[in-house]
Amino acid sequence: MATQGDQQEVLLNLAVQALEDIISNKVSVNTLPADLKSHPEFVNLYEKLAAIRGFISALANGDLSQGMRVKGFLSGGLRTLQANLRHLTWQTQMIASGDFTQRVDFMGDFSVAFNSLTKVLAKATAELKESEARYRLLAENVLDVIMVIDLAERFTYVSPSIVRLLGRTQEEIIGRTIEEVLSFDSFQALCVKLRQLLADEEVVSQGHVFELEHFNKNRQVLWIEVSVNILRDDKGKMAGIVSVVRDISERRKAERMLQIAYDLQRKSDFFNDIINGNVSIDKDAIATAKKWGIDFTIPFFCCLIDIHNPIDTQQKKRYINNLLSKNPEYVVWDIRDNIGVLLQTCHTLDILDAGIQAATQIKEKISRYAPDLIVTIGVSDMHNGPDSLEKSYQEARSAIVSAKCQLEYSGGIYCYRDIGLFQLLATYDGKERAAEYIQKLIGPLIKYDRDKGASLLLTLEIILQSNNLKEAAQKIFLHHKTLVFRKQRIEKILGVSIDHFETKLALAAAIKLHKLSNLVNN
Amino acid sequence: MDNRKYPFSWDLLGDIAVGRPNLGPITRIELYRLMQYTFRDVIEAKFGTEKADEIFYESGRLAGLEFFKNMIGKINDFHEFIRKLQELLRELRLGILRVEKADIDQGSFVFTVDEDLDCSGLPESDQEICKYDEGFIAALMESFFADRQFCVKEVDCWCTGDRTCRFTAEVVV
Ligand SMILES: [Zn+2]
Repeated sequence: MATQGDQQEVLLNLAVQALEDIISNKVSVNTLPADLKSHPEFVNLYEKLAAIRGFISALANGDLSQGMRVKGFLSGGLRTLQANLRHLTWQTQMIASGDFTQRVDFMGDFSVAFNSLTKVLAKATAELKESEARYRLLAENVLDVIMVIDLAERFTYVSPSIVRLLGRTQEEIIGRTIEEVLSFDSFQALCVKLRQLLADEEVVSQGHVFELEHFNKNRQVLWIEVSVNILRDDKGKMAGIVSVVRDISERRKAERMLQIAYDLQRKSDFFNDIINGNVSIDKDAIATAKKWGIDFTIPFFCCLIDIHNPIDTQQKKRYINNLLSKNPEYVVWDIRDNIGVLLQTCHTLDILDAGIQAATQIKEKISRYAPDLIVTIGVSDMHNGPDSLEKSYQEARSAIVSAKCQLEYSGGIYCYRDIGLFQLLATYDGKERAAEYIQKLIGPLIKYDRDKGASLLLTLEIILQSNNLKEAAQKIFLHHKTLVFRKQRIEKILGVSIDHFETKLALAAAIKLHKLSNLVNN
Repeated sequence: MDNRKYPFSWDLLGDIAVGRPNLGPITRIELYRLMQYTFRDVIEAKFGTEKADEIFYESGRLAGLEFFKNMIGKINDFHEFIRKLQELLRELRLGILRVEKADIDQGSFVFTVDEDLDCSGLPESDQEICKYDEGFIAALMESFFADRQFCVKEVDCWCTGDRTCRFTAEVVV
């Protein structure tokens, strides 16, 4: 039979083993021997240690959520460690959310490492933000549109200038695929092309540029230039394409204007050479004329446009040239101070009116652009055959000359067939004989007007144009008696009576020649 | 109570620079604790433990409200609030504040205060003792989240063997 001392010894050994187990060994729950369970103080101690063991084990596994009701130094230290780790977790979360001011001051070497980490992060992030801001500033402010498409054909970036170019907002496009964006018809051609390029790494990697005609949201035609480059990931693999889209409508317009100006120059040289007799009308000339839109073998007529404008005449002429060139019926060329227009009206039955109709249309077009411009259009008769261009030009020119010799010149349409005596006079080039004729018939009157500051020549012209003196007096707001008196003075100066038809005709011809020579000499 | 003799105002703290030109603003923690624990003793003896704790909590609360009003001022977000609080508490040698958990949406927080002015270094007992701190923290939280009420409880304390005082702050629904 064991003594009480033996029993104490056994119990102590059991207790030591139980504590040793819980501190050092792997034990399963409820391994406390039954004999020890009757000692409440030991059970209390054992349970405290078990709780601390559980807490440590959780901590070791990274579980910071465990609570421990045990009080005292050992558990207190552990809880402090837990508190610090939890605070560290919170600090890390703060850093993740962008708060780089977090500093650790309770973990020795770790604190130093951690704090330098946050400093570096803060610096790197600030630099990143700055450079991102710089790129953003650039991308958001260029007029060109920058687009980025990834391999899944998705727009990952579009700069805001897209609105100006295509009438679409960034929100409408970013995040969508080409497939989805294809429904914007303003975008279609571009997207189709981009999709092709996305599949053709070789072409894109060389840097690809193409031009497209393009409709914006308001159905306006734009010319755009798209330059495409490959977008690579950090391993150098293709990750998508970057394209820069630029509105080159203005450039295209300028190019077109240049082409038009060049064409006009060549066309003008060609027609002017014919008119001046520098080129004979052979097969080649007929072919060239046909290329410019006129067939010399069938009838045509000429409208010659004269612009009476003291300033910017050349600019106005250029504009009118462009304006009329848009109409395929008009073959327009530039001739000295005028613009020539050749027309072929094979479809018009009323050949007589065709010229006036055409000239009226031209005049309307011009006045729509410049209502205040004084425009005279001379219209030739219909002609065909080898020398028809020269003939029709001269007729149109004579019509303009006659217009300028009118009493009140204010532009308008003048047909060659209606200019009467001017058909003859306008092309009359016996200058000396003409001067002699003028001098003989109305010379004294011109001299009298010049010496006395009078206007008897004008009075004579009005008398000649009128059916009787009463009508003439009304025209120039004179009393009938005054006009009678003036008429007598004119007759006295000239030494003729102006009542006879032959005299009237001779004087009228002299006045017209006089005006004509003034016009030519000026 | 009419005719109060001791209504608190921040001005009562006086002008230390004028009043203590030689000794300055620093004193010994023992003196601070001497005062606090003698107050606590007398109050407990007169009104019982529960009442004493309540009075300390309320006093801490009043201190917290005034502290926020006079020391913290305009704050934009929670992070800034914590940062400023950490700086202030450290500067004033009140303790080292750390955040273990801050669930702003749920209104559930865990803070620890190391080297707490009231209790760090106190002999171990079985009682969490920082009632004054509980009130203080509650008032700070309520001042920041102007429309919420908080229940603050010290769950670990130096006095219970921990090396830090840990407080939970929960919104009272
Ligand atoms: Zn405490």
